[in-house]
Amino acid sequence: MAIRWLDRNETCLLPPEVRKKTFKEYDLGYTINQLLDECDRCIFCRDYDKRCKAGCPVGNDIPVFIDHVEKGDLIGAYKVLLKTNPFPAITGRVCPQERLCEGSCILTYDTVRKKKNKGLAVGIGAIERFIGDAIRISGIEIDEEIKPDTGKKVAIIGAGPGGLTAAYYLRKEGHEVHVFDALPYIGGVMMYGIPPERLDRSVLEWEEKRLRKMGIKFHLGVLVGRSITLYDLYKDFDAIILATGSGRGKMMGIPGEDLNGVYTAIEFLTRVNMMKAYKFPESATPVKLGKRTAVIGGGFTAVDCVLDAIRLGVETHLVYRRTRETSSARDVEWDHVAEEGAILHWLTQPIEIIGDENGNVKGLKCVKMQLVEDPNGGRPRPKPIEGSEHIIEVDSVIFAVGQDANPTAYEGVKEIQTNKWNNVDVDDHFRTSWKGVFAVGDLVNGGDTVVRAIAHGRKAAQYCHEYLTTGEWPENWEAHPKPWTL
Amino acid sequence: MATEKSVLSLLDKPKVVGKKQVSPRGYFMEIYLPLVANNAKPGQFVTIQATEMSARQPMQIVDTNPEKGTFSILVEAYNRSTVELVELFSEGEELFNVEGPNGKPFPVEKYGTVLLIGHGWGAGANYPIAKALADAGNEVYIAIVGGSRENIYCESEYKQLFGEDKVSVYTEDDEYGKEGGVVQALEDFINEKGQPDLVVFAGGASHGEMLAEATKEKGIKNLSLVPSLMLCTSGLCLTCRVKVGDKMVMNCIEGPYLDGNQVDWKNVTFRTGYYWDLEKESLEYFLNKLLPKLKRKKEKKQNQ
Ligand SMILES: Cc1cc2nc3c(=O)[nH]c(=O)nc-3n(C[C@H](O)[C@H](O)[C@H](O)COP(=O)(O)OP(=O)(O)OC[C@H]3O[C@@H](n4cnc5c(N)ncnc54)[C@H](O)[C@@H]3O)c2cc1C
Ligand SMILES: Cc1cc2nc3c(=O)[nH]c(=O)nc-3n(C[C@H](O)[C@H](O)[C@H](O)COP(=O)(O)OP(=O)(O)OC[C@H]3O[C@@H](n4cnc5c(N)ncnc54)[C@H](O)[C@@H]3O)c2cc1C
Ligand code: SF4
Ligand code: SF4
Ligand code: FES
Repeated sequence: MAIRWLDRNETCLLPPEVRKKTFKEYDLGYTINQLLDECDRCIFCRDYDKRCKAGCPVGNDIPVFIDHVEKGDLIGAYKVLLKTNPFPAITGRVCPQERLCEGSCILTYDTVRKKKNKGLAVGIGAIERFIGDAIRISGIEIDEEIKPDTGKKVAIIGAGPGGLTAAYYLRKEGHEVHVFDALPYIGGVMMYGIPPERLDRSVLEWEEKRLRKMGIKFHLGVLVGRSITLYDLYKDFDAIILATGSGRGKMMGIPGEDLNGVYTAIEFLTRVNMMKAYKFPESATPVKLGKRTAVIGGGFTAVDCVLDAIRLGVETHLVYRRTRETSSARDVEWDHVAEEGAILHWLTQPIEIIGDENGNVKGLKCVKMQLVEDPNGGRPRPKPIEGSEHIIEVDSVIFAVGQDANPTAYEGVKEIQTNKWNNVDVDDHFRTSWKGVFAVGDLVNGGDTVVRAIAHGRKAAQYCHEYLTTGEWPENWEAHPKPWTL
Repeated sequence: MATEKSVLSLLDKPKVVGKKQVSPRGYFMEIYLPLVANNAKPGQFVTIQATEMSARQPMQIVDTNPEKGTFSILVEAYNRSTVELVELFSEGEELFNVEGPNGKPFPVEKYGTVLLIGHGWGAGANYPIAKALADAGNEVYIAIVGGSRENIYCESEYKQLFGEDKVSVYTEDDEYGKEGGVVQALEDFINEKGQPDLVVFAGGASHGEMLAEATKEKGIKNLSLVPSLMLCTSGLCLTCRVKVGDKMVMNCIEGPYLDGNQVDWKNVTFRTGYYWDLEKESLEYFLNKLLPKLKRKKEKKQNQ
């Protein structure tokens, strides 16, 4: 049969005029016929473990679940996924697939010969999402096989994707699993950061029910490092998994950051997405952007802030010091927010936030930049253009310029070795320098993706299970020199 | 913070077990949550989200009862979330979420003579600190200050513990006790007993600001609860950021008691006022729309 290089099925999006007025998910996913047709495009590469599977951080057996779908067995497909990834409905939505599985699909790139191919990748993400959603809304209860109780207790700190995944696989081994989080909800960044228009909260709620049904215990509202200490937990548990992320908001250190109307991305997103400020005053938590706002940054956090701000009905400016091409968000995402009315300012560097006499933001002073060659051969660097100062009139400013470590859980715990970014050092088994304590996710690599945290969580669960079974711990523990490659 | 009891034995769902109204807007609430009752140190707070739709509200821990697994807070119900708390919750009802104990414990040391000034709910906030400082061998004096008599709290509790002569009461409208605010309380104290070695303050930001001006000028050490806005109360969002000297401090995990002479109070005062208009709107919505609905629902349930 001829290879279908280009006729990829694209998911259906709500039209810009509709989606910019609602916090409902705007990507509607595949229809059942699109699903079946897209599965038909996979050519079932024999060496898929060097291709799509190698591009997926959790190593999903992609053609295997696609084959199940083609045979009309969604439950079987879901079970294939669960072996490597407990949350397909989530990853199917939020993975940057073009850089991961789909970027390694033979139709678009030959990973073995290392050369570009002429086609478009199989829509792996949308297929995966369909499988997860189908099980979720079918009402079918998939029985999770859980081994008999081992009598061992594990404490997991942080209910983001890393912690939840570790909890899932450790519980399956029969251990008693307790998950602690400071916030009143599970999900970590998936709850307070990623907006509901990209990840419907009903997905998170369903996953939480599944995990609770497996017997995993959640303790929400416990700030480790203040409410209890790691030492308290060390005394009571047989092993600990740290999964507290690296999510502290950040600003730039320019004048005017203490004015009213200045937000970190984390504050803004938490107010809107977790505390539901978009339902104010029914929800008591307010957010106040005024008529116009400026979002500073060029990554997916910036995109998320723009999506939320537009949905709040605010004129939204995006300000980034580099170009659209050199930003880390996807091109289509900029197209999407531009269609929704966002005003994009490329090569623009903020230098000061201007306030009025009452201490409220009234403008963002910027300079225009130009890209110049890096003499050392790195990527071109932005350089200010003299005399290009100008003011963008706004009532609020949102900083989406990256996150810092959040060391509250392990600060002052000298048994745990940290690196120069204040994240936790681990070896290749996700072991920290303290016997019985593991660490996963953003906390280890300083900030990556949901699926990377899931990959860590699964591997750490396996190593932690080995430790609980054998009690073995290396005598000469050594930190992995490149933790971001784990 | 090391606990004798295992962590797991202290975890439970938070529940209101007692509510006592002491003034038109002032309520003491007793909450069951063994983790807080056992682990709280003087100066720490809890963050209460009363219902799924409520805001997260920091509240100082006034007293603890580890045997019963309870702790108490003093709520001055002015804004949406505090009004929700006192209107919707009575004995036996579960709260949506309580996070804590939170914040850094107050640095209890031997300072010498200490004057603790509490404005409004701040009198409750200072209560466990006063006890701990006295236990640590300090000479402890208390000033309870309020806009009017309605905002005077814990007077008898303090008097019982420290004696009548150690406790003075001030109202800004001169309705009760001596006339004046937080600065008057400090000045009277200095005239009578000389400069204290430490002033501790808790209450609204504008009072903290006035008091800090006085302590700075006189060179008196000042540790003040900074009532900044808060959101995550776990060191993520930077909503609570406060300038202390030339440093940016996250009040939720480094405070709430900070070096009052170094705090940029002007900034705290104007930033805490940012949502003023929306808070009014939110309270009105609650009182006129949500509360009647919730009350009807509750009555129906009780009648069944
Ligand atoms: C706005 C935004 C959008 C993003 N969008 C995407 C996307 O589309 N796709 C993608 O793949 N990735 C995305 N990412 C990145 C991704 O969310 C993270 O890489 C991932 O969530 C990391 O997971 P984690 O389990 O390590 O930690 P987190 O998700 O950060 O969870 C950590 C948890 O630990 C808790 N915690 C922290 N300290 C303590 C403590 N002391 N005591 C108790 N609990 C504590 C926190 O409350 C939190 O719930 C995004 C990130 C942001 C900020
Ligand atoms: C660490 C910390 C601990 C805290 N502990 C406590 C506590 O133990 N008990 C407690 O009650 N609060 C406490 N608070 C304050 C509480 O969280 C609310 O912020 C507070 O109840 C609202 O008062 P506000 O001054 O911030 O007013 P806003 O939230 O700005 O005010 C809301 C409305 O109430 C009005 N208002 C507020 N106070 C008064 C007043 N005294 N007289 C007249 N009108 C008023 C304002 O004018 C405004 O309209 C604490 C805050 C922090 C940061
Ligand atoms: S988990 Fe993410 S990277 Fe892996 S196959 Fe699914 S969508 Fe692709
Ligand atoms: S690389 Fe692409 S075509 Fe090959 S098995 Fe994977 S998804 Fe199918
Ligand atoms: S309230 Fe979020 S960092 Fe302090």
